Amino acid sequence: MKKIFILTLFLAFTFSVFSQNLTGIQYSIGFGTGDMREYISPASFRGFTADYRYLPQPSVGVGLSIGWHLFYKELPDDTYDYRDLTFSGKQWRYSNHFPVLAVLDYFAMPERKISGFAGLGIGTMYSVRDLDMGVFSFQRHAWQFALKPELGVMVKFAKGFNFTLSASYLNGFKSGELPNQGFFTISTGFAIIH
Amino acid sequence: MKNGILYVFILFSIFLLWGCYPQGPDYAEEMDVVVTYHNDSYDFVSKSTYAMPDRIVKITGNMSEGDEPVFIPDVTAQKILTTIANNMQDLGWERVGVDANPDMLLVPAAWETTTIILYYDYWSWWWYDYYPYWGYPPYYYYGSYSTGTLLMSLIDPKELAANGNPVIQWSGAITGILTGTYDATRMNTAIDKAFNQSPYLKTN
Repeated sequence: MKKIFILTLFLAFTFSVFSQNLTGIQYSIGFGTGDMREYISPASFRGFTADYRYLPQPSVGVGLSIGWHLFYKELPDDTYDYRDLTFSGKQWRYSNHFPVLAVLDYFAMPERKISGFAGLGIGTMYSVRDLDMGVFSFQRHAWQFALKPELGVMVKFAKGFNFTLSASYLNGFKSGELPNQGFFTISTGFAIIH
Repeated sequence: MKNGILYVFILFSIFLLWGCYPQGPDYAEEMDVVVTYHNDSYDFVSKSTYAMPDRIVKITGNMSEGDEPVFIPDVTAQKILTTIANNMQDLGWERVGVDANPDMLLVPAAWETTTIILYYDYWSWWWYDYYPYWGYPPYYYYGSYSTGTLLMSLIDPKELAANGNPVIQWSGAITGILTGTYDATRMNTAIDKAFNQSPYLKTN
């Protein structure tokens, strides 16, 4: 008990001495896999992520990541079956994904100008799949349990200012009306450490 | 200061993404949709004859029993009916008169309304009086449309629901093509598509 108390005091002191905050935004390109790719094969060029990390030590970040990824495709003429009806015509397909994740990051060599990092996000993703045809619109949506492993590099270009480049895989597990929704992302942006 | 810069970038990114959110159709013909329905358990294969009127009734939504129906212009109707007849012929059906005891009745109708959710009218029997004791049973169609619609329904005159209403065995609805100038190519393409996506209509 005494050891735990001492350890807690030590950690609290350490964190209070070294703690910093990281805030960042990233633009993302997405590549669907599995069912996502089957529904919309083209890459997504409409992705955005905002991040906040509390850095108790320079090499550890704990925080939150929220995002919005939109996949889109037009099909000039296709059919869609709904119950006992068959619809045919031009289709507009949308797949919107809104992840909200708690994230733990590890930064390798944070004191250097270029440092690498690895992270794991865990949380939820709200996915909405729309299919529009003329005056008809079909929607399926679900809150999904989500995981997001990520690897990246951070490049300092001014005091406290950093470029970021990362690759990740965001997976929303089968839930409600939607099967597994997964996609790779390549993201770039910048982060401020303050 | 640093946070301020970041918040501006975040807001800018959201507006940028929202601004390039892809929108829907650019042209009217992109709104054309063909919808078909069929009764899975109905045996179309054993049937071979059908009757079809030579005019197309226009649904006004306020017709009562005993009212005279309104029709779409004959020139347009004849083109539509010819295309329907050609498709039925390709599927092996023989068109006969309404008094020749047809296996099925093909009833086309058209309307131009903004929205129809649950339609209830007497239009479907305006022409068919082969079995006069049926009178004019009410008829309904479920759907939602905001543009012109052509509806083709196949009914078996010998099969009625428990309440005495006719039962639709097949229907094809074409939305968005009866508005504006008549475009024969668009109309024919859409009608052909309705039959092409209904291969179960083919008879022996």
